[in-house]
Amino acid sequence: MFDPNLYRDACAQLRVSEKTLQEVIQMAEQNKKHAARRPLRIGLAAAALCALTVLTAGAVNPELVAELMTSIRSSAAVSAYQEEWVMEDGSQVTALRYPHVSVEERAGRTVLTVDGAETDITDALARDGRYVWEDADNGTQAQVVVTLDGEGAPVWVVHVAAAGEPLGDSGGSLVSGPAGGD
Amino acid sequence: MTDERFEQVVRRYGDMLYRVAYHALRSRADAEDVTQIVLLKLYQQGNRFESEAHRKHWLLRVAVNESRRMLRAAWRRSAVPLEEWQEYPAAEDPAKAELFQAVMALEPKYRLTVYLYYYEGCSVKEVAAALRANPSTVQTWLQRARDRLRRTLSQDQEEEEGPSYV
Repeated sequence: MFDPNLYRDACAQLRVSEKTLQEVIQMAEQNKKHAARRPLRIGLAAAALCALTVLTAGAVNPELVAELMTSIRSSAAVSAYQEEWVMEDGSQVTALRYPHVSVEERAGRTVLTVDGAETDITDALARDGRYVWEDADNGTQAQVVVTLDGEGAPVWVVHVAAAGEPLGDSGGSLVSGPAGGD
Repeated sequence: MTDERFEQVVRRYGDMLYRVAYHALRSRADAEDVTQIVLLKLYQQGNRFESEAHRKHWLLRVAVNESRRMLRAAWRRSAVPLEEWQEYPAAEDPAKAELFQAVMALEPKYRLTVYLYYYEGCSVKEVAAALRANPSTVQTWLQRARDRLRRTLSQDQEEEEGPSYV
């Protein structure tokens, strides 16, 4: 038998850690203090993310990534595509995450998959020669532009921009390989 | 919002957000991430809330949305779940642990409905608003969740007692 009182007692033992709360309070304070970020930091973040993304494909400077990763004191996710890192020296870095993108040909159809969500873009590509996927989360923008190369194969570009930044300016971009895969 | 006020709000709602996310995701680390995302979103909202109830219901809705977003994330769907909910800390009270595990074994929509209704004391209409569902659907989910819990818990009890004909 379901006993609501027993359930409430059980739930009361679920507590968020003090560290998590402290991190978020610190992030909010630092956001206020660093309202105007130095471009260098954003560039660094973009470089880090490029490195992280390419790391999975095995072509990256691992020392750079390792150094960055070990010098993060705390991190907080701002959105699905953005994290704020506080580094060991107290500086703050905005890190951008690229969505996972793939474009596949299936039974004569072209399917774009972004973070697991599939869209049939065959008709849009045939009609306009391009397809644009966009998402915004808590101010962070992500955009995937799929076009056709000279041989008619789909190629894509991903742009991610931190909250308040225009796409393609100080954010990061990732381009698909010649075969259009990821 | 001042830093002091924000800290008060963080301490007031941190556990609530964590519990909502934990019910949706069944992972401590993911629930903590969602808690931080929602609190930072709250910070950006400033003082736009008309009342504390307005703030609370906004937080519940955003926590549910962010949890769902994380559930849909490709990396999470391909990850091996750790099933942390089976290691629930209330092991010192078997009845409590068993009940909690039974709730956590339900589908996410049922878990969230049970949590919001029974722990947060939300009305069916409020649960529906948080989950973006019709109140009649939430009523059905609540009934089904109770039925499933009744079946699971009575089954467990029978197994403990053993067959009566021996």
